[in-house]
Amino acid sequence: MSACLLSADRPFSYPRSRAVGREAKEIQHEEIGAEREILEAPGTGAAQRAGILAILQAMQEHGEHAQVTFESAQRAIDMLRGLLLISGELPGVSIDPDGEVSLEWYREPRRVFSVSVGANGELNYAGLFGGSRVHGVEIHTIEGEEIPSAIRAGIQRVYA
Amino acid sequence: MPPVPEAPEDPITLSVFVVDLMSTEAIHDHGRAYALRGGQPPKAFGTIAVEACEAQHLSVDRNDHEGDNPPLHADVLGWPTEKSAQKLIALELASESKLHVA
Repeated sequence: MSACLLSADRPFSYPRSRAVGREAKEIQHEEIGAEREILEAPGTGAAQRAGILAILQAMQEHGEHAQVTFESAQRAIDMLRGLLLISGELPGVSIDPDGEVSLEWYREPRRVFSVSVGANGELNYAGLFGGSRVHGVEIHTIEGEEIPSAIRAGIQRVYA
Repeated sequence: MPPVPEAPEDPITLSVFVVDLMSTEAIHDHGRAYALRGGQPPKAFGTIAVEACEAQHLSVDRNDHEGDNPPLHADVLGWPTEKSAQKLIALELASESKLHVA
């Protein structure tokens, strides 16, 4: 069995030097800048990492009020790559009162799409597109499986 | 042996405060006094007209006289059981509400 713990404060960073003094501080500052450039460079999965970080932060912030299900968070993370291929836009992340991770693509109050990722792979979604409204349920159980067409269409309509 | 009935799920409610004629500062003060979460005061609040809730077939039940409910408390009731329908109504309410950040 293996386990992995990601710190939401510094999830992908390497250990810092313990050196002190002005020069050490400058070097550390440069290292942080270089690391950030690598992490945020286009085509390096930066958006995916930012999405994972957002999910971890939401769990940390809302965990006291809603029992976040690990399976829901894991499924949301598994889906991120596929979701980001649809629009490239990072969704907002929150935790529903029932503990499911909720992902939201928002442009304006009536151009918004939201998906709750259930622990069992159930995707409850809803969207407003001007005067049109959609809602429904899809299933996404296998990692790497194509995102259901209703979810894909909803995200695309936000940015159409 | 008769079948054992399943316990009904708790009906979903949205807890709100009635803030008619209150200033923004007074609403923030009320939130700081009665809407703490984990000891933390709210960072913001949203206002919405009762009519916007009723347009979604929800009702607003003022119940600050019941139990331990704080002053001005009310519940928004009548939510559908289907989660996707709940989400749709939540988006509708959000689109009709106004955000006030502390």
